[in-house]
Amino acid sequence: MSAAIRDAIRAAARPLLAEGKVSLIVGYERGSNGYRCRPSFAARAGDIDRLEWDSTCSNNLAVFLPGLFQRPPQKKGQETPLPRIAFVAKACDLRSIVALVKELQAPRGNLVLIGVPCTGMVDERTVREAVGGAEVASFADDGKAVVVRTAAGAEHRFEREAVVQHACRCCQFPVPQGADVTVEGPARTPGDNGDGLVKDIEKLPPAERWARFSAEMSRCIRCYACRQACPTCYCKECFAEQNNPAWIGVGAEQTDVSIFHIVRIFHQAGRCVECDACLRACPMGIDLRTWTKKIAADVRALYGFTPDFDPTGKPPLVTFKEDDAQEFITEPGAQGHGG
Amino acid sequence: MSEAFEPKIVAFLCNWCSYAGADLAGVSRLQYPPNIRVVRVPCSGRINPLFILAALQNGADGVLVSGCHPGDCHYLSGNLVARRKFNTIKDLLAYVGIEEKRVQFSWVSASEGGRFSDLVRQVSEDVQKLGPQRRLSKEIA
Amino acid sequence: MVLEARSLAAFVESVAKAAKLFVPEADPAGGTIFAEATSATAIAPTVPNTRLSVKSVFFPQREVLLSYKESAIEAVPGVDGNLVVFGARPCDARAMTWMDEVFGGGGREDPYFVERRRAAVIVAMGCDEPCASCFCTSVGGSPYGTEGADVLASRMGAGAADLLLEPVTEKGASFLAKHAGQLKPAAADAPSARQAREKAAASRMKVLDFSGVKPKMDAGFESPAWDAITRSCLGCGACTYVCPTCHCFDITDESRGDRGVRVRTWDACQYSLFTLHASGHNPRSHKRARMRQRLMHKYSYAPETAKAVFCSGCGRCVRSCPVNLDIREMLAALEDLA
Repeated sequence: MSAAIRDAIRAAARPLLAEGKVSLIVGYERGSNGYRCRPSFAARAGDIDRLEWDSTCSNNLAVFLPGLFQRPPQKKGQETPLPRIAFVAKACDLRSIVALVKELQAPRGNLVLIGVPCTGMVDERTVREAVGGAEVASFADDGKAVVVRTAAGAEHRFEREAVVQHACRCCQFPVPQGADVTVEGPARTPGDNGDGLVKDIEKLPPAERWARFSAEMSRCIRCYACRQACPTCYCKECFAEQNNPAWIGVGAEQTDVSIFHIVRIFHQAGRCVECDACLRACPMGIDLRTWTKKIAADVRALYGFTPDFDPTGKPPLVTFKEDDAQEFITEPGAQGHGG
Repeated sequence: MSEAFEPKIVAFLCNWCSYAGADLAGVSRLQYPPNIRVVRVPCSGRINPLFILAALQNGADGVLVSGCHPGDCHYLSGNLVARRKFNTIKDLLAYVGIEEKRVQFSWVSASEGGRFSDLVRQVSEDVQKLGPQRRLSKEIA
Repeated sequence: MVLEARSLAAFVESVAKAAKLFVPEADPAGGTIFAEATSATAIAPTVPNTRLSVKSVFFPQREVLLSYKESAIEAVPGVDGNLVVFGARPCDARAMTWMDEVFGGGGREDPYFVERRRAAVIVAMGCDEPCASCFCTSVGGSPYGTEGADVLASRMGAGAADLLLEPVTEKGASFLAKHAGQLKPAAADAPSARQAREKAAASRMKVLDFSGVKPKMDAGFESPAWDAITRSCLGCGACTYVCPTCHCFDITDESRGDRGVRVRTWDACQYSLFTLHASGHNPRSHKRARMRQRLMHKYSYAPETAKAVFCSGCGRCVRSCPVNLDIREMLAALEDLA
């Protein structure tokens, strides 16, 4: 099945380059360890045959968009033209691209989006743990089961759903919309956005919540892989690296680490598509998902907004409604305190 | 909680409403606990959540942010955009385990001296009960 | 000497009593990291290697260099030099020799690093199961290499729990003598059996030829090939942080009022701000230049200044890269430079 999708992607991509409609196609190719896919950049006809598609295409390719459209300040009347670039986009990638278009990181007209419906990507870490940390040499997925062969020759068979990424299991938008070309392919049944995880944490008392947060974050080495992998983190100077003022220290000190993550996640309010790119990028295996989910769930609950496929409309944190939620406001005296 | 613990609370007050309200409380000789340290900002919309976190990291036991009532912002909509920021950062801080009553937001107008003193009394009591804030407080060592 | 499986617990206790002991411990997120341990139950098998390398024991992510008040130094923290690392892979141990060169060679001595290294003992554990991402034999190393190790430990047979401990340095010999109570003498043929295991492990790895890389890199500094191989780099710094030889650091002051601390923290040439000047000019403003710097530092400049390629083939960068950039592929692409 994924071979058919791969061929459809190549068929959609080929004429775009051949006819000069775009100068670059961003997609996926086979990685260096033989089974995992990774981002691919096709600039010439020969590169198209490297494009692949399978259940390891988990990278969110929107992360490359801001860099590809970056230019130095332009002289009026002498602007160098922006490139035209095609992206192979799962629905989550597409929603990130839409968020970036809303934030003027690229004109929609300079993008050709090849939408690909998704049945969910397989979680590398889950598979690795399930095979006891052994090295995976090959991987086959027939849509119902995933068969993994380790370097030592052992074969393991998993029910596909059991090894699909958490982000995909609860994905609300498995089918991309608003793409220029959408290839045919099966898609998951939309999930319920997984906000239940957030509710579970909210049942805990503050001390327990803090214990979990600080335990996870104690492994952080401030490498910024999470930030760099996130499509909507693209500030040229991140608050974490500002030195005037120096909001936080640069090392792996507990309060600096905590504030880095709190604020980075806060900055994703209304922009995070819950793709878990940050979690996958982390070399220390930190479970960022528990906290990134909160900001997305909150914006959904308070402002009825989840980043979707509509490039018009304002990001929720730069706008307001007269009757926005106010329960959080302290009304002195309202709780039986003396006046 | 020792009786002797006096919380340090950083209060970000918008110039046109809340700061003036605090001033009115002063000239009206209304008593309120001396635990707040006021930082005047032009508008509650000026508040970057990093201000709140910087206060906590520098040892504040609590943070109070107060602006004009929605609809009355001197800059028309500063507090309305801020309202969304405040709600989401407050929820996120509570979610990671910073006790909810340590960081509070309110609206106090320039004529509400009484409301301001009530607010400060309430927030000071809330934070006093929680004890010293250690989770995000950085030791320079 | 032989450390029998049933004596492991007593041996670890004995070592932990006399020194600060670091072993690979299981990480809740999967994988292993070096952590201080006092009991053998902490030791976890490291396949693949630990997430972070041994360098983090001697060169921590964040280290306070001194504290100050007004403009005077108040205190300089002491450094605990009584360390034992048990279970480092030979690639990590070898990398420490290059770190020694950087932090203690050429008449420059970094007192913090050198003090930790002076009396530290590294017990390297031979590798019987190199991974697909390992390539130590392509850069002059070996799965049972002893460079940088004070003691070489190896399993006495496939899946065996007994360990053969062979001293490599005087420090290593003293260490074994100190804990001889938990050890048994080894059979005369133990070293040759170990050699056979080493050969078997090494034969599982393909040896790549990087000998032509340096001249090609040096001649092709401005080549568009650099663009092609770095297109997907995210500039995330994961590769440099997990690398056992990457050693760039930043020094910042963290102040409050009139006192503060000066800290050293890891830094990475992969960050866009790494070479940003106060004027605003950035000599490495594009990621092609930054990855070029990383590869040339390891494979061109270090051979000139330190007479060694600063890469031990541990493969962590390959495993941790979110976009699966593979240093072996990048070097091979550069070999093809006309």
